[in-house]
Amino acid sequence: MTMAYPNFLPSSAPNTVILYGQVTDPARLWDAMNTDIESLKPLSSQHAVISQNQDGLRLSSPGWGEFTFNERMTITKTSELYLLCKEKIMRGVSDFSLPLRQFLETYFDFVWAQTRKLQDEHRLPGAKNELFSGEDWVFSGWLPLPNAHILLSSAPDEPRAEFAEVDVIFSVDQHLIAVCLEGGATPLPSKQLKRRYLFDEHPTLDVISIPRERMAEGQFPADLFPLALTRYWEDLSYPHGPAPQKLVLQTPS
Amino acid sequence: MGEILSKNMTLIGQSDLAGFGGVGEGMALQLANDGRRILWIAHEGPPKNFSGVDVTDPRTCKVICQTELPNNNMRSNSLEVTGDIMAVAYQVYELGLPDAGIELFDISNPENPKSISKYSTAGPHSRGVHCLWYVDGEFVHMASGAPDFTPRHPRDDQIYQIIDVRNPSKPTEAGRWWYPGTREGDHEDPPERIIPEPLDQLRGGDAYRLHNANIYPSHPDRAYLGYIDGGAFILDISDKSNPEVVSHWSPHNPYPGFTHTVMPLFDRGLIIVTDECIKDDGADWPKLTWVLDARNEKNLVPISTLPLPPVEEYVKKGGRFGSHNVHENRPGPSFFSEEIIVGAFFNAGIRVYDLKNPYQPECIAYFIPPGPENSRVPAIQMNEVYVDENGVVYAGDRWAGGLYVMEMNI
Repeated sequence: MTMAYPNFLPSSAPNTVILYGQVTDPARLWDAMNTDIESLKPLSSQHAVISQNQDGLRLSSPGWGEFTFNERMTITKTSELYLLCKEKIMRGVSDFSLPLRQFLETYFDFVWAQTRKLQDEHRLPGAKNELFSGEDWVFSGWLPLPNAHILLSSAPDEPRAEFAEVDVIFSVDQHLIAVCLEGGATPLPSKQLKRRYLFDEHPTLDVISIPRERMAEGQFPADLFPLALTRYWEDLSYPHGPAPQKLVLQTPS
Repeated sequence: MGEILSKNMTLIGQSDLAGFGGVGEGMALQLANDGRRILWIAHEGPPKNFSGVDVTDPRTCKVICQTELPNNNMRSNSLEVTGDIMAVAYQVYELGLPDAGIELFDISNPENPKSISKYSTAGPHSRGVHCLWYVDGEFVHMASGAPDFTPRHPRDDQIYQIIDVRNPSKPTEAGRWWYPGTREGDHEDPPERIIPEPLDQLRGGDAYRLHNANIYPSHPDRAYLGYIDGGAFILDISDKSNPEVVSHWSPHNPYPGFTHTVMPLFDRGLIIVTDECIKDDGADWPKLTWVLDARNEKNLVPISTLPLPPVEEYVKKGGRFGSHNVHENRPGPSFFSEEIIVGAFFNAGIRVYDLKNPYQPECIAYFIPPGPENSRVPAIQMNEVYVDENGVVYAGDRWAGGLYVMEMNI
């Protein structure tokens, strides 16, 4: 079987398109979106468009959370907002994907713990009575895109778009990190072929495979990831929250 | 004879098993010491005991071994292989016959299997062993009568028994469990019969007995039982001498009974439950394969069934139509998936389902060959399926067609 997928980052469309969350038929979802890549928003609750010069996607990146007015106005604590972020990501994961759910649980726990630890060890900006608190750095953590389907081909003459599937994608500092949770499943040739193409041909994608025994430890396997993923506060002057300001000012209709 | 009906599956090999093409409910793959791949096949009935087929090249299957049963009053419907040891189930056709039990074979020389030991379960109320499970080299889990077990109903004789075969020359019983109320002397009331049948017919439905027991080395403290009209059970077998019920689920009645296989998908929090079709021409329709939400193993919830082709078309093809069994994700040289389910559905052939969305399982491939020559019914009767680690599918016809080997194009 041969496939002639276009480049992921051609000069004419310098983007990588990722559908994520509760996606069971990505080609159908892509058809339903009925749009070309260049007109897509960079981030929504169902997709991400990663451009060549993008710095990455964080929990604070606008677009993915679709926070309602009520959600934003009823939450007063950073910890509550963080839990809401976690809940929104988890809503996009099937109840029947237990290892993926566990991975995300450990990731969110890790980022929270890491942020608290940073406060103590590195004295990041932010203290009581300031505009933001030290805990707000938690929203600088990288945004996990679970159940990620990466568009391989969208040529007009293709009957259906083709996607490669990985458990999680992080977009970190102009690199993509593909997380594959090892479960012992026999690879299906069709899925394997697309994954292989993605892994071999994508110019900025790194693959992290997490052995089953590491997941069984119940801790986020930070040592398997590049430092950039775990030191998410670096290169930032101050943290942003996950809801854009215009939403805060919005009044209910 | 008709044509092959297929989608995303290709027939690559076939064997009529030297003219004895009735395949039972046992297939297991051995990686022999000399590098060959030997598929061991249980037969549906006498005179053959089991066949060994060299499937090193699955396109050119060669029967290299075929053995005889001691007599024609018995059958060896089930077998399993771990390493170079094969366990074979012996079920007799009349209560009390002496050959009931299991036999362990050394198959290190596949052309010449040697008996290691026999474990008798013969007794006045026993027909011996219908099905067994042996994947860890330590314990055989089986559906069998026992010399000291007296069922209240003659068809409730085959109970769950755990046999310690760590010393294969001296198998010993490690534990047993039966549906409460089915043994003479139980305090519980006997269970209500689902579709009562005459007492003098030993085979068939209307039974509260074990069919399959599935136990996985990754979760050795759990046994998953298909208890025919009793439905599905999860047992805690951390103490094998004292199995305890964790949970129970049964669609019978109103559904017409005969739970066959209970297969957990641990990483999904799901369980697949098959109800075997046991009557021709749709007489016991519908026999379904259920998908259960088992995230809370104490509260099993049905969420879907695997879709089948139109009943009005398939009940007229002949033979049985409906669920039977599935490839069971066993350890060894075996396909493992918690998203792809491969099942044998009698005249609906071998069917492959995508369970990515367990609320809406999708049939993504199937293979239905024409009815084989010399069969008792005009249609294929796919009775057993095994998928190897390369995704090659081995399936057997119940009456005459023998072994079919397919590739999945998925």
